[in-house]
Amino acid sequence: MTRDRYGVPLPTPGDDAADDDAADDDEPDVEADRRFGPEHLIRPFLDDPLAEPGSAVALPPEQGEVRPFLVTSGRTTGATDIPIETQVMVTSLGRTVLESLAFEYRDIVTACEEPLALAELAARLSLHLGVTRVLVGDLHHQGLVAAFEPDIDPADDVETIERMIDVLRTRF
Amino acid sequence: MSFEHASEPTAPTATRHRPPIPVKILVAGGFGVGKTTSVTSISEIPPLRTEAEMTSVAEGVDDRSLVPGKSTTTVAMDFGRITIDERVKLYVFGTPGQDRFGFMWDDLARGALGALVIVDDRRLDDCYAAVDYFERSGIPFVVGVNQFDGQPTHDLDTVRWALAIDPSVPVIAFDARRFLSVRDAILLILEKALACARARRAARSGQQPEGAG
Repeated sequence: MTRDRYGVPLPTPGDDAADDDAADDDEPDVEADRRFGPEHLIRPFLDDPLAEPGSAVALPPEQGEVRPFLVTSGRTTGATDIPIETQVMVTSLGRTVLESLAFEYRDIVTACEEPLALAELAARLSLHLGVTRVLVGDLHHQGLVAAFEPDIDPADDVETIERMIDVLRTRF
Repeated sequence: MSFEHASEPTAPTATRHRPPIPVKILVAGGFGVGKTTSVTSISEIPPLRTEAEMTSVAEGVDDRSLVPGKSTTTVAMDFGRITIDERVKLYVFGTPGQDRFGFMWDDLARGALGALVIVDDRRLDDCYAAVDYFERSGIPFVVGVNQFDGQPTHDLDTVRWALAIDPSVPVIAFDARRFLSVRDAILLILEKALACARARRAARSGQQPEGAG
């Protein structure tokens, strides 16, 4: 019997009996191909810079199925060097394509419906901080999350520091 | 960096919601000195923990001969949060500490408003690395002598003398287990940071007329 490279039996063309036998296996074969076919080992949205929002939505859901340990492809640095306290928040594009995202990407986009610090995301999802930084960098690059850099430097902003002192002193 | 600025609409797809400004304060000191306890006391949420890579420089002679230069170590980092108001979130990060290593906290310290260096006055030298670091980086810091079982071994002047720190650095006694005690320590850090911010602002406005004229 012919087998594919994953050891899954393949139906023999022209052999009716084999076709009958293969009918039961047809569904699993397709499923296996879907999961393990080399063309599906591509992380969604990461290889093509997102030209327009519509193209992301058009991707079939099964492309979201990725082996989680491949998720950073061994990279340890992201597209941007995001500070650990940076507030990360989902964009409307991120919400739209949420269902087609895989594993950690989907978890991150789901978690930051409210603005969360990079370190908070890592802790909530039990991910290494460095991994989280890479993944958020990817999502940010694709426009699925926003990573906000404050328009002021708090260390230089007298009013912000005064307000913090006032609140901490009076609230408790 | 290509981050969006919070003040401007980021993209057609981005939400209009303006996220809070994150403010970061560090809690540093030797191993087991009360960093995590302090973070737990002050945080409005159960303290969070994440694993992070830290670049470390081996300090021991034997280590240095085996591992020249730097290496990275995975360490656990605890942190907590206080929501000041809808515009400002205060994060308190416990810096990972180990006796034999002087960690390079640059990733953690970048943009930090100030730091609390916790001291166990029975093991003063454990905090030297932290004091050195914040002196070098110019981050305002306060030295807090943690009151284990209430009785300090040395008075605060002796601790100040032993640490040989600048007279402008506050040295206080505090209890890492008590919210108000940690809150007061953070208030001191904020006042130090405020003085620094005012000084920088004054320096800037002092330079402006010269530049204009």
